[in-house]
Amino acid sequence: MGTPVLECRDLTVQFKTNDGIVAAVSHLNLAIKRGECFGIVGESGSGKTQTSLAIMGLLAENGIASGSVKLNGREILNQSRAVLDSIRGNEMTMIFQDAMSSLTPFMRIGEQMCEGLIRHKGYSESQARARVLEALEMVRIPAAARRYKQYPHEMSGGMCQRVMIAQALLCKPSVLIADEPTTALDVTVQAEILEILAGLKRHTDTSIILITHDLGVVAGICDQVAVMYGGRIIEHGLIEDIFYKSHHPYTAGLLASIPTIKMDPSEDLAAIPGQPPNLLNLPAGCHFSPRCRRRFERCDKSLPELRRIAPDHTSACFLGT
Amino acid sequence: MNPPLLQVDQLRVHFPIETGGFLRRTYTPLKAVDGVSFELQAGEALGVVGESGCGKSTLGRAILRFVHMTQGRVVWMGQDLAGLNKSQMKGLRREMQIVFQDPLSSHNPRMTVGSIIGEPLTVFKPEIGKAARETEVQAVMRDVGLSPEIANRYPHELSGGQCQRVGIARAMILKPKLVICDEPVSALDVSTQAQVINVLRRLQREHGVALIFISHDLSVVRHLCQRILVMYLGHLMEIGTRDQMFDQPRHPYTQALINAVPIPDPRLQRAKPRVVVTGDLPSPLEPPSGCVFRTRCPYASQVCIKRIPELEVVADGQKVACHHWRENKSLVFGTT
Repeated sequence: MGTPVLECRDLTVQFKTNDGIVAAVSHLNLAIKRGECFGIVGESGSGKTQTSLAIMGLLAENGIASGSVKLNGREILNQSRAVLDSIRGNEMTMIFQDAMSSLTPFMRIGEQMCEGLIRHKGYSESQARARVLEALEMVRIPAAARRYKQYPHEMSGGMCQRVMIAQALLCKPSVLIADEPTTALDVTVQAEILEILAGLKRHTDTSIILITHDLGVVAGICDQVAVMYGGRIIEHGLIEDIFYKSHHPYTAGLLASIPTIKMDPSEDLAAIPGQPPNLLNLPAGCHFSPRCRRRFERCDKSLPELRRIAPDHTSACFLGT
Repeated sequence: MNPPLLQVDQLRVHFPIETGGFLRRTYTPLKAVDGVSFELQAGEALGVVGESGCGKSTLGRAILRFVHMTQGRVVWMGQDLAGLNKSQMKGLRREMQIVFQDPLSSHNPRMTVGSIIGEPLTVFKPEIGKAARETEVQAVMRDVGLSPEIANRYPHELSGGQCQRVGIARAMILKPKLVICDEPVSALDVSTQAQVINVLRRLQREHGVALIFISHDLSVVRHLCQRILVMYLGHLMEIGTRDQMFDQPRHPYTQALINAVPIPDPRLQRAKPRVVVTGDLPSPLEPPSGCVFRTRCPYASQVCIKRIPELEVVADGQKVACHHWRENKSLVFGTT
């Protein structure tokens, strides 16, 4: 097994706001092995993006992170800018939902892609160029040499996302965080991007954290999945545990609300009623209880902790206790 | 059969695009919609599916005359819309409404939810008075699953799903015969998306309103629409009933769209054949010769380069524009 590539212990992210302190992420633990794809799933406001920003050291100014994040055994949480700069874009990279606006609009694609290699790996410009062209071909960008000279606005959203992935992989990072990489894209392009990520998993030993609100997206490539709600992980397990033996009613609800091609179209979708919780005013007891169809007395009184229900499978729900 | 509610005949929308340099300015037509025809019955839900840039939103807007059509006819209950002047068109607008994709930016941020939903009434039925208007606003809010208590809030205080319900309530308050929904759930979380789809399903069932539902996601369309129209680069590729399109899709593009929907089941998803259609939509300013889909089509041959495929009848109600649909019977993309 060996030590995990990335390990978060008791990671908590709080924000100072005018309305008081908001805990966006509470006591989160996760460990990712080499070459593994780890899915983090949840609705907007569940804390999945803040988790990744805290790992990357990219929290907003009013954000405070506590706990521990270790990359290859080395503590990286709340480190100095200089330390983080040597890690980010090198050992650990991130791609965002809006690829078009994550690229610098006034630099040619090739130029901005070479930056990291020259800075982190000490490549010469021509070495960097050769490596970048190779990377562009790996993410199936046709006519890479022509694209190399173009600006981001000359490319489609799917093309920009592929450039982002290529750029993120140039320095052969240990961890790639992909935050909703396909949400703004057409289904056909989404399928292609997921295919590229799956290929990455097969051919490199970069670990991927895939953040999404759609369990359908993680089904194809993830090995482990953590489901977040109200800033906490409420269920965590191997992909098969989550899809075939889900324990938490919220996970089951998320699965049931995906329209699929096999479902009977004459029936209503099984939507989860209600709205995601307000983090400033979390419900007492289990945060999901106001929307839960299976809640009972105890759920309104105390907050369930994650507990082991099978090897490698934990759930924060009182059902079955 | 009753005369259709809406008849669209060879609709073309071309936008003139400035090309060439400053001194040699020329205009090239961008053919956003190029010869699309279909009919819509009262109370029916039609899904219009395709990737971004295929012209599906422009089609919806051209029907409502938000954009000028270059050619073709749009006939609403036997009446050709092209011949109408502004005030006649305004009278018809209460019968056709639209819900936009972006739930937040399609509402005026300075208006309360109640006044946003009630605005169509102040425009079209000013005579009914404030009290009656408020009663109607409350009724329609309940109808779309919004609590009338939030009528005094502003759009930024609502979640995405609630904002989209406000958009639907505003469209429904005049009891229209047709609502065009332009990607109304694409910006929402999966769980909220399901709620909004269920609301639309119920409105169609209970109020008999016809829907044109524009989306890039076939799995969503399947849950809402009785018939589906697939567009690519301004052209109609295939049209048919829901069952025809999912059980026997004839066009390779329809098949690719079905294949691209991720299956929320790890074993099935991983066993699924690889996607064959790759790459991006070609530039609509220089569409490929012959069949516009040929540059991404795995079955493209010489005839596809030379001739534009005609829309052929495959079965009762199903039509496809592909030279090779007869050979392409088996589901090469594997939809199961």
